[in-house]
Amino acid sequence: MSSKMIVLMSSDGQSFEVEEAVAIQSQTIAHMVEDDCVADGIPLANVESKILVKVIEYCKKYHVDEANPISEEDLNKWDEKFMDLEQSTIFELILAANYLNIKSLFDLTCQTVADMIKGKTPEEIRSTFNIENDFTPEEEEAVRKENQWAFE
Amino acid sequence: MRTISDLPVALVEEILSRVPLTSLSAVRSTCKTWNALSKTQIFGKTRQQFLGFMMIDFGLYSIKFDLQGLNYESDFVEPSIKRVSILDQLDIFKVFHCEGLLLCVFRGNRWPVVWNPYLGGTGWIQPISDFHKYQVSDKFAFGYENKNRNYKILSAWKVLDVNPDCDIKCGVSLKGKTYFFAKEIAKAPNVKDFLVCFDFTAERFGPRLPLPFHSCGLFSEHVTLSCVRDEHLAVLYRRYNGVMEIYITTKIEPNEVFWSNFLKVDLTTFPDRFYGSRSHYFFIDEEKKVAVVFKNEPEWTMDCSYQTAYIIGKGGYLKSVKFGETPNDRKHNNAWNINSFMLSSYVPSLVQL
Repeated sequence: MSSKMIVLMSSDGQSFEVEEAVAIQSQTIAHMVEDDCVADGIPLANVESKILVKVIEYCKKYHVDEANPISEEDLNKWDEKFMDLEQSTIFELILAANYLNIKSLFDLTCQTVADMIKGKTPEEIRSTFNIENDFTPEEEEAVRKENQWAFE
Repeated sequence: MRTISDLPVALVEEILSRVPLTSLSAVRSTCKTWNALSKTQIFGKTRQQFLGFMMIDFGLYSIKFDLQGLNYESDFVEPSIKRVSILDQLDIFKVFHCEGLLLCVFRGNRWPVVWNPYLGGTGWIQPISDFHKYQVSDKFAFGYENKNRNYKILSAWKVLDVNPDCDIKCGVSLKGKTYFFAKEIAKAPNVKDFLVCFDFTAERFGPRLPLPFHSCGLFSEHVTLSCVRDEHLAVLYRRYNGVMEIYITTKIEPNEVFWSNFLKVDLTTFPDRFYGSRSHYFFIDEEKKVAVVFKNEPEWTMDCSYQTAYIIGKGGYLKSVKFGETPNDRKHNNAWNINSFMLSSYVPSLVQL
């Protein structure tokens, strides 16, 4: 039994052959398949090969059917390992998941970053993400006072 | 090298919206952009703990009550309260929550204040009648008119010329309307107590709605209402014989309500005599299947006072939790011995004042 394959082309010119059923987890690709413009491959100008490889890895894992059954618990564990990446790669994945419109990958990547923010002090957040503190001491104190009520 | 600052604003917003509300202060203090972004959308839509506001002894406090520690292996629970300094100068007499806004009424002849904690704005509300002085027994309702989201406060039923035609006991806001527990004015043996909704758009009370129990009007009975996730109501009914029942709505609209059983427990089996209290502020945690009921009087020791809450679960589970220890140095001007305690859950909103 042969399944329909389509070709995805990264921004740096590499080609990847992927099962259509796996690829259409991306709404963007699904629309293109519906509009029948995939014959010569799909150019993904915004996604470089290093990232596209990870996206395809994700989509293959999440293409769950009788041939590839997997429990939710196992998927969660796999997600954790999958997201053990450098920050820069995570942000590239967020951009790719957004561009390719893969909701579950987008949720996973955004939540991973949100979890990196959770529980940290402002200094720790700035240090983790290399963010400059553009508040003056007076401004920072005003913000702290305004949020004095907030649950911690 | 991609950094978070390289991402388009819309994507940073998506990330921040998944950060829990408990990190709000830290995120806002990180940088100006994040401070601004945090005010265009609500953080942490799924929350893991009870977040609300309490009034204790004329002061306003925010409260975080985390039940995550309750599981098969342990039962470590550590609620924390924080005194809200922005309203510290005046004694607060009553507090109401409606869709992310807090209506605070002060002792003495001062105008009430509406405060949006999430955005930080406050608006002073003028009393409708300049000669109207807020009395100890005044009852307030707080909700909004559907079309314009104009907030209206209702004071002692005089403001909007409405006659509820019944004896209103207590109320809670849900989805912009206020639901009250009320009794018929004419007391007769088989007359039932009921729930009634005030519609701020139509400026009138809705039909009488049934309660899942038959309270018979004895002084030793008590009924309190609470919000569940701003979607449903819960009602606590303490019978004269010390049995406490909690029900939760499966459907709640101004003219229709359906209830289901949540918990039933015999308070006389509890070691503490807290069921003697006049009112039982509470919240329920559906995931942990427990109710948390607050004692509305502090406990006193030589050096400090503290608050007590009881976590009550099915099958007789009971755990008492002490929190909010305050040293005994605040002057207590409670000449009338007014019961100054209330609790409300909090749902943030972006309403500008």
